[in-house]
Amino acid sequence: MEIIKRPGGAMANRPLHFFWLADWSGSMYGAKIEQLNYAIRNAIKPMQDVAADNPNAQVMVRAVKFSSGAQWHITTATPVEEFKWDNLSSNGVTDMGQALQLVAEQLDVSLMPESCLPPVLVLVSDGQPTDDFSAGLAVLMSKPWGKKSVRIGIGIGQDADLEVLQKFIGNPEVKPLQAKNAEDLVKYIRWASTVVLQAASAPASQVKDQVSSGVVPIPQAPAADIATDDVW
Amino acid sequence: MNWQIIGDSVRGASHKRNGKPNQDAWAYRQSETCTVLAVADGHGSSKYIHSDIGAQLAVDVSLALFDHCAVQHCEAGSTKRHIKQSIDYLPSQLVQAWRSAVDTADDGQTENPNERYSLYGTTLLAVLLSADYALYLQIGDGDFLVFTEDGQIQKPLPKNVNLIANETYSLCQDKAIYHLDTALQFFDHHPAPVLIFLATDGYANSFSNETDLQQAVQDFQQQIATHGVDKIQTCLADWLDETSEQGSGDDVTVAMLLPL
Repeated sequence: MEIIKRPGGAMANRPLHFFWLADWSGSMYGAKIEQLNYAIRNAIKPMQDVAADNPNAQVMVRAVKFSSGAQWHITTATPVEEFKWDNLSSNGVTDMGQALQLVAEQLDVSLMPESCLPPVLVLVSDGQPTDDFSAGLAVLMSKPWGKKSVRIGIGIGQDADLEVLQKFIGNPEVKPLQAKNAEDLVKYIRWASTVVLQAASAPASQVKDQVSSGVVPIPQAPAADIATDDVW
Repeated sequence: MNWQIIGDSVRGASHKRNGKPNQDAWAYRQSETCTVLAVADGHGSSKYIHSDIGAQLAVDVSLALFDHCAVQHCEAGSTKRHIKQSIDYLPSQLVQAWRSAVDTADDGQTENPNERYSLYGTTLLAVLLSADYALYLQIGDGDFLVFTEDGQIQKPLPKNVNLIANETYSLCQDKAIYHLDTALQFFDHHPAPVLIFLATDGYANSFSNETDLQQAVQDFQQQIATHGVDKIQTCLADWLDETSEQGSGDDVTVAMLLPL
């Protein structure tokens, strides 16, 4: 029987860009930054497993670190299978607004075409912004993909500014997560890397302007560990 | 002019993994006065639980409405002006007809009408071809591509720049008629189509860019010219399965019209 070649060239699965926005300010010194490094490294394998389960999405990872200013920690969009985490140290203040601006530059439709899946932005911080957070958020939200992004905010310790993280999330139905100890941080980072990633990598159609809760429904986050005495 | 039709619809690779049905639909109708073809893509998220039915109702009501429209134009010997005027009413007639069909299908199970229509939410692309004109209609995502006898590739309806990610306009919206686009092209002022291609967004999302999509449609045209409509029809479902598996993972529906 004659085999006829399928019309069209190579098929393309849909890119999903995942951004870590990690606070490495001086107040993260010690256990907090060590646990953040551990939590992200610990989440890599589960993240890769989730990505492998959905061959129709191509997960690409980047990371921004912010303290006094913001810079790329992982500059190139890296396929999740090759994603590695180099430890962050800690120093400086908390220029969160600049981190948002840096990510916003990459959310232009010219760099991220319409066939992409909604990007995922996970912001992790233990403090309050020291720069113009509102200006950074405004730049982020001025980008079509900024508005459509899935945004998760994780506060570390008692001093994390949850109000700012809530503004970043921009959805009253999704609350910032407050990690009061190392166990919570590991749990939340893993949840964002797997459960949220999974939801964002196969989003169903949503009717425009009927969606108050974002383009991807955010799954329930794990409960905090209240039993531990080891609180930050 | 008589038209040949090729089309098929497959359940998406991710729908198979997640136990969801194919929520796309497609259908066509041919009579002495016209040929009509429609595809629809029911919304996938859990709040639109009857969207597969909504998509089927959308293609059914659009075929009936377009057919009726063409018959009226033909019987009345309508002028271009009359045809253009009647097209102005189509969006509201279509939305009304779809809602009425949903009311019947829902059979009183959902009291609130907005909630009821949401359960059945769907996009729709439809084309009507008469002897004198082509009429294109679209609400929501999906692709219309028209190859003309002068070798051009047209998009009869403008791409909606407001829709990125997985957002779409829908027949279930309160103000659906404002999001329904139509284009009427009389053949004495537009080059005649040699291929009209309709697809739900699962097809275009399986390519890296618009150029690759257009290349695929050009390949279809060449394959049909070489192997014939019947042969391509038999291959289509397998090709669409492969497209979904290696591409978007979404349901994929493709339908084409070619002059006989």
